[in-house]
Amino acid sequence: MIQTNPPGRIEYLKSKKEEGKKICLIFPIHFHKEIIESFDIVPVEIWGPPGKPYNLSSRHLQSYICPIVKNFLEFYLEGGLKLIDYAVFPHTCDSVQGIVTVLVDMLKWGVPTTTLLHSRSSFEDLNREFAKMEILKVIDFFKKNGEKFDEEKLRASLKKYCENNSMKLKLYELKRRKGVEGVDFWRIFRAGEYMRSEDYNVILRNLIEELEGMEENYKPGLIISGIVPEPMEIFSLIKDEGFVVVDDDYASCGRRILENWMVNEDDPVDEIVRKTELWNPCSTLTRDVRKRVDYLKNKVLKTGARGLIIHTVKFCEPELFDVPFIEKEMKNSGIPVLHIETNLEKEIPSQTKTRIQAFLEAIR
Amino acid sequence: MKDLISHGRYLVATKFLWPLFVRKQILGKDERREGRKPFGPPLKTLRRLRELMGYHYFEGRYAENVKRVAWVTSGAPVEILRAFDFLTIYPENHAALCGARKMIPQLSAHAEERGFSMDLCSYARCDLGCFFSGKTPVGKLPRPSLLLACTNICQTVLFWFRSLSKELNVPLIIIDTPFRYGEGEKHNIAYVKRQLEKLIDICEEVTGEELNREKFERVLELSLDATLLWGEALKSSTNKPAPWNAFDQFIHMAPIVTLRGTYECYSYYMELVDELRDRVYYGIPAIENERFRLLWDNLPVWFNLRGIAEILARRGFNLVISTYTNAWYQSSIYLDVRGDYLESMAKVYTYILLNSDLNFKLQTFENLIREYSCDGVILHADRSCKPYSMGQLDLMNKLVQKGIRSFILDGDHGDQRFYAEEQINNRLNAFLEMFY
Repeated sequence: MIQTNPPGRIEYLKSKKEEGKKICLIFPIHFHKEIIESFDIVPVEIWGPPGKPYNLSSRHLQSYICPIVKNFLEFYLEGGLKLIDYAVFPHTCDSVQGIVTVLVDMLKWGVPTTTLLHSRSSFEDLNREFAKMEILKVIDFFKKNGEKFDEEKLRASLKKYCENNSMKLKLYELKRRKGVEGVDFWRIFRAGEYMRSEDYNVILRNLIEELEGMEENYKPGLIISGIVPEPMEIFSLIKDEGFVVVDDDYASCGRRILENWMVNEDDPVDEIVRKTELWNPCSTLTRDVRKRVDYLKNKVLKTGARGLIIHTVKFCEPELFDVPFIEKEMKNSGIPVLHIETNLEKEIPSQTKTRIQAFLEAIR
Repeated sequence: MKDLISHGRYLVATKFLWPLFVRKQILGKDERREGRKPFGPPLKTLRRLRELMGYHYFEGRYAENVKRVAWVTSGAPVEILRAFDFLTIYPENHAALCGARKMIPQLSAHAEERGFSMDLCSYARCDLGCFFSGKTPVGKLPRPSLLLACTNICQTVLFWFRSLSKELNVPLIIIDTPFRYGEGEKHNIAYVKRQLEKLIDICEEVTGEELNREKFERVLELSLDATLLWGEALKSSTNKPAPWNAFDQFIHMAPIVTLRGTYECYSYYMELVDELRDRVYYGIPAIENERFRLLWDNLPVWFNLRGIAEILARRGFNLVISTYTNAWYQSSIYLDVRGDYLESMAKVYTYILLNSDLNFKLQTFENLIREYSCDGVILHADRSCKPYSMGQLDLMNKLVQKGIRSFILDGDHGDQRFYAEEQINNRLNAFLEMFY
């Protein structure tokens, strides 16, 4: 049983609001939260939330739109985003691109909003230049809204995020060695989605200390790839079956942890641009699916995992195009693979549970 | 030796087989002159269209190892490839053809059994299915030496072409056109222009030839002229009764999509515009008894064009224009073949309807409704084209608030398994009754 206990999302955000801090909503997937923090604002990611009935959002979005976008809209229309002062939407996919204009142009939601477009061209030098222009655009957006930009603060913020990245790497290593699994762990890990880095780093430090004090307990390992680990119940199921997720490629978790990132540019904006070039292969950005396949194979080899679960969210086109290749290549390499799909529900459907259990039994 | 055989086959096929046998087979007997009620007489240029598109795919069958072949997305800056004599194949157009022949479920099954989800775009599933099975209604698609995808129509093409690149083991060039919110950022156009410059560099490297500026300018001129003719053809529908309608436009848009920048495309639209002028002059309508005029939004339902057209025409409704067919003309205002043409191309390919926000789309609706005197709007919520469909429910509400009768038709552009015909027809009929 893990003792480290981060504050809940609402509780934390309310406390920050009471301190006089503003809150900026960040939509999935890839964004530089360092920028937001350098303006002394709290960046809050939103991945859903799960388990929403589509009462109000179905008046605006068709049933086949990504559930992350639909659940978010439902949450907003229910009055769930009252604490938000700003919003940033990275250009992740067609659904995210579309929801921005629905909110801003159709629903006139009134929250100062900007976008961060990702460069996807075949030309690395142009991608770099464009990435820099987009980062400067975001900085400019906050400046125009009266926030004060300080290069030193951005530099400090980058360092905190770099430390945060290193601690996450350490945490995964400990998780493997100590056989830690379950919803408790992931709840702490995902607290970084709503906490400022200085607060979150304290939580991570505590967790690392706690895990270091545990005895080694190697368990059969598993790797999961997907967008977001919802329903989180999946980790209870894996734990009950005696397995450990030894590494993950969830876009909201492991995919955003960088293997070799050290801050080394003088100009913090250049450093952020450099960081984008270190991003792990992601279906929403990568031009070559082979890179992602190699990346996943390496994870399996490095950790000795016994299999891979691909966990897609319904209607997620970027991931769904990659799945057949990943499945085929993994099978060709003798790595057992299971593909499951969920719809951002609160609980895993029973059929899916049975499939996961059967898969884990087979690779035990 | 292999090349020699390919060249020989190509010559025999295009110089002998096509003019003597295949062309006649494709054209078949002379088109009837009278229309089948409730439609007006069919367009004479339909015969020319079949010949043009028939030859395009026929040539493609024999082009491997003879011509430089590139597979491109419909929104790709194809003029650059044309200047280097690439034969371009459009998987989207090919899938539309399969859709019109109701073949998509059967073809996409080959992709689905390899793990491609039914939730993916039916065009993509169809083309991947064609690749896996080797089946296509056009005989054979030539293997490309290059893939060119432009993100201006959707991100789906990026993933789709990435899959093709992996399967075919062929390099993929991506031209990334940033989405335009509001006026768009200045750096977006500079970014796209630089990519076009790089694309020229790649073509020079691949072909070992330098860009012939004169030839490129000629291609651009042909592209612009054909686009303007396409615009003129569309605008003939502002006349009452309209001499053709959106169902005709969906069919006749094939050259502006697939042959843009060629003389054949330009001359085809010259012919079409001439015929439409005549039809306006002689009062030849697309449908008999045109009482109400409608605007269509999104791609067509390829497998049921006739079915929807009949329901509308029998009640005196003419679908005079669509945002989709208009999109192939809309951004031509930016093309400047005399000045900085790469910058103007960057604007043309970035500032298109599908790459713009909903305010721009609403403005487009209002302009088309006014210009074409439309009484109502049908918005095709297309399961296979999520970026086009997203925001339609709000757009419909805005239109209704402005007093414009609007209707959402839930369908799919290619896969009839996602099309509940009876239900849709009932709802469509109920919508049409509102006008009486």
